[in-house]
Amino acid sequence: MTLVGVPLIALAAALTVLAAVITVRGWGRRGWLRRTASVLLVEALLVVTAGLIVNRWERFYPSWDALRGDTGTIAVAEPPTPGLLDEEGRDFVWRPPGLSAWHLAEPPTIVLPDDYHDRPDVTFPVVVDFNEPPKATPDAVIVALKPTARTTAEALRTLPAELRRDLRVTTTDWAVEGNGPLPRRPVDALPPALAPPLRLPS
Amino acid sequence: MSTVLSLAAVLLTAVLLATVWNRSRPVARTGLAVLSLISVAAAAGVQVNRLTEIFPSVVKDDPGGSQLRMVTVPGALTLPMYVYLPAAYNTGSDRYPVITAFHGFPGTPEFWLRDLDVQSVLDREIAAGRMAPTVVLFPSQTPDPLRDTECTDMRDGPQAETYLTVDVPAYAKAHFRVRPDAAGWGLTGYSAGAFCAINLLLRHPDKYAAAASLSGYAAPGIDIDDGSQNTTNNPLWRLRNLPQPPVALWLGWAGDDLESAHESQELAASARTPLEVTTAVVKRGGHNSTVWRLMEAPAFDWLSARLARPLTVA
Repeated sequence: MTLVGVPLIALAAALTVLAAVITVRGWGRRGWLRRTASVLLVEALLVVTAGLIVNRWERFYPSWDALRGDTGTIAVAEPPTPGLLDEEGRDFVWRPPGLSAWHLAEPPTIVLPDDYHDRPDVTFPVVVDFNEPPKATPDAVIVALKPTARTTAEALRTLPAELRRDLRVTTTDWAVEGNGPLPRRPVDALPPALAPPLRLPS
Repeated sequence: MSTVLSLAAVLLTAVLLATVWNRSRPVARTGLAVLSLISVAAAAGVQVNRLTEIFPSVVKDDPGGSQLRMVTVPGALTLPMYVYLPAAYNTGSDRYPVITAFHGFPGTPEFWLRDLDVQSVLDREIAAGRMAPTVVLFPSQTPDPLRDTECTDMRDGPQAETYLTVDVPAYAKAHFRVRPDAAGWGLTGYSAGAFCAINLLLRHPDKYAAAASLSGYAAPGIDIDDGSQNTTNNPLWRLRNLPQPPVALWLGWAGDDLESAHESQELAASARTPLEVTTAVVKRGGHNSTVWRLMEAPAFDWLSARLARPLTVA
């Protein structure tokens, strides 16, 4: 029996009427305590019936699962995993294993936020920067890329995973900077971490 | 307290009914029955109010690093507003991005503070670096708790849109260190407040850069008296009939919240470049605070990523 179905409302209404009839018919034969209990039962059933009708109309809780607070989604707060290159200096040349597949003019340069080393429990947003020279963006890990004609969004698809292994960076809060044709590619052509967050939690 | 009092009234009237009914005249019996019904309705009303915070009572103030202030914003309407100031606001001199968060109907900004525990959520997201320090405004949207404005300018009624998009920003800019430009201003809301966020973003892309909708709708739930609920105050109509603005929209819903799911999907399907749409779906959960508690942190994170960062003042 569903929470917003007619059968449940009909059942609640029928129980209300039944309780009211029993209360009235047995009124003279009962003591004040049982009468009070009967009145309270009728009132409670009345409120439940009205509540079920309103809930069917407004769908606040469309199912028993929803009423229990079960959303089918588990919120996970994982502590940040240390990056393999966490001990590097504030800026360095990045040479990950998958570098050759990106077809860049030279290995990327990474610039870390001032407080990167002081906050080991924090993951940082990322700016993939195609500007020459890269723009200064405080509080974000900057990955400065020099693309060639063969550098495509598809070729860069492995970059987020490589960066997440080497540094403490967020999964979703990525930005792409630059005026060339590559940064202007539509979002759906970009690697997953550059696409909008589609799953909860972030 | 009101819960205890209202339940005591229900109990008292029930005992009275049970003890004096047989000795009473018809008039007294009628009075008793009416009193009983009133007490039951009052007890139910107290619980509904507790859930929706229609009539605000106690102000929650968490004296952590962040601050929650209550101010009164004058203008087309004169209404109270809560202001969240991030911990960094106390010590820094930056001008911060702003998110205006709308409540549902019926409801008040207190729902954000109490049921959605927004101060703790914002503190946590900012401290974790998932969100930039941001000033968050929680304005009231109607002068009458029982009148739904849907954040619009009603003909011969409250000028809620003007109040929320002109007076509230002007007050914030005059009284707090906030970014003055549209790139630093965003909107969010749940239920009817989510409609407000979507509608005001599309109507005022010169004032806001992004909006996040938690179980929102593609149309207002009211008649605005000028027919605009079917046209210019109808986001779906706007997306289908007007040029789309270069702003960003996050649409979240629960899969079993059928109306919101259907309308949010219609909005997402109607979006075209340069409007950017992101969708987020909770498998199930309905149309209530459980779902919104799950959505609020990702929505704030997403908004923050699309708003300009705090502006360093030299």
